[in-house]
Amino acid sequence: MKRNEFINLCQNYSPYQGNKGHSSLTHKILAEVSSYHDSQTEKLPVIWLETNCSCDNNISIMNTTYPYLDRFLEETIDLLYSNTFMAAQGQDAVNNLKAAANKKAGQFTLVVEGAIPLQEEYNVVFITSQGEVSALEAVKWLGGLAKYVVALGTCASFGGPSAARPNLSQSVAVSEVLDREVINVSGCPVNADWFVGTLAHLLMYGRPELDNRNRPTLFYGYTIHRHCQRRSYFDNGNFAENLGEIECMFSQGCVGPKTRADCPYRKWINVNWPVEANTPCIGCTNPDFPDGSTPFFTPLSENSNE
Amino acid sequence: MSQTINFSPVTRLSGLLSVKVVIDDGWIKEANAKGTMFRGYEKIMQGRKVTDAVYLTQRVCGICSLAHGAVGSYLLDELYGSTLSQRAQYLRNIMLVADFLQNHIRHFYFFSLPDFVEFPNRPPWQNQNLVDGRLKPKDNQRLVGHYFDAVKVAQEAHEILALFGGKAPHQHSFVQGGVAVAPTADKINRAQALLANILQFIREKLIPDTELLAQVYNDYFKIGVTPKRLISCGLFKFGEQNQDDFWPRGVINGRQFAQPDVDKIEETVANSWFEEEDGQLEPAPDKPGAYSWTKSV
Repeated sequence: MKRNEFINLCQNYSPYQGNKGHSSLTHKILAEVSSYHDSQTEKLPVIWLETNCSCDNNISIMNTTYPYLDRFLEETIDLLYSNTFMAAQGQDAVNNLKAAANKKAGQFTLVVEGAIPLQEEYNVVFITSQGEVSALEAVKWLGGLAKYVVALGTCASFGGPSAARPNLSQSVAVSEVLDREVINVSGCPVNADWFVGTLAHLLMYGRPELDNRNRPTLFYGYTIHRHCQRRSYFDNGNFAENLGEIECMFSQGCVGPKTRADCPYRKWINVNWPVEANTPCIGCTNPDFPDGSTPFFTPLSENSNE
Repeated sequence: MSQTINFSPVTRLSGLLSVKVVIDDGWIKEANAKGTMFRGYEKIMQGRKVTDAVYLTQRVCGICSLAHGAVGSYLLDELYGSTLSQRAQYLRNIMLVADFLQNHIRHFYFFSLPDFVEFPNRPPWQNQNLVDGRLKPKDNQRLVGHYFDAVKVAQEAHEILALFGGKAPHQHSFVQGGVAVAPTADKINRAQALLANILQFIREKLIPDTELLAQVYNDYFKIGVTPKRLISCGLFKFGEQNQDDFWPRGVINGRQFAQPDVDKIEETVANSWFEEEDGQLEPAPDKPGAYSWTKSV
């Protein structure tokens, strides 16, 4: 309905025509508003593949608030395939995946949760009558059809714990097996806001601005250190002697100075974050996590990995 | 006539699973549960400082994260001869319980319920292959509603964990020697309010829903019945040296009760893709007869 038509409609149903006119105006407008709302409810079609990961990212995403998970699934994304959430199992689940990949080719967002083992027999996502489908095959197939590819969590973004030494499965980041742009939303696990916010950005404004590690600058633009509430302790050389104390955690192995994430003000589940809990940031969003952060509790300046 | 069925993927779990079933003359001859993911966590843990254990082992699994971290902490407490304050004992168990609550609520509603309840035919529940739906429409509708209610209470359980643990999953403050966060009045008060919501949900929804399914599907109790041999290795440790179990350990064998003999529990790799070399387990994806990356005990 055009603006003029809408104004005419309102004028024709003026309340001055009596009580009946008043309620019929509401009735008319509600129908219009409802049809407008329906036309605006396009959601982001998502195919979510789980590979070498602990599935902690999807658990973390279940902790999303405003929107809560149900609203996120209902209003932001159309989750066409997800090992964790879908009701279908077996061949029916595989059929869902094939149907989604065909019907939504060029439109869907591929979310990969986990690293990709180059030793293909070390991760099989499902088995059909035609044989096993490895994580590598599935990611290459779907990655070629997707509009956007989102690497969810540090394993998918950079290898993460799944690729920690000695990395027997030869796990690598999603970006290393795909010849296209991959948006990395790292974290071990990801903070629900980083993932929900990235998908909301894709839906509302398209591709977000990315940093030199292909992460949305919206969440990974600055270091933990820059925004840390305990920065003044660091600047004054006031370091904690133990975990559990209120001073700077650098002495306890905090890698906040080299870690890009917004935990100090984003927080986890709205209530806390590792440094506020009197423990060090272990740099779980970093490309070198965990091997570049271990041994934990060892100051960055003394860590042999640095 | 022998027939092989690959039921894959088994969905709604943490990890990747397929089941291969061999049917012969209407009888199941073989049923192989295949864990199809290998990361090699045992190897990842080797050659690191012991104090890496708590944070790193939590990354084994997202839904039961703290269970791994807690065991790491207990072992380090023993290694360092730590004496745990009463406050640390309580706080640790509050965090562990909060993770359990989150896990159980999500397991029941998100992972199990779609096997019994018909869901709306829209993503992510489209083309649900419910083979034995029995609930009356009214009950079905109520349980679907409770799935959505569970979203918030499971989040609230993890909020309790984050409140004292810094984040969830993979909390930070339940570590060797105790707990890094103090139980201040504001935190206790907030945790109690969150817990009150969770308890209300459990009493008014989770328990009645469990009872309803147990009643409607009561014939399921007779499927695959095994001898009544049950084991508990104890849960929720208290005491200055973690020496007491809030839920006691024990073995029930028929009418007999005994203490578990942990030395008799063995990890085996008979059907797993592992082979022993120089006392170490090495991955062996081509091992004949093996079918899974998971081990058995």
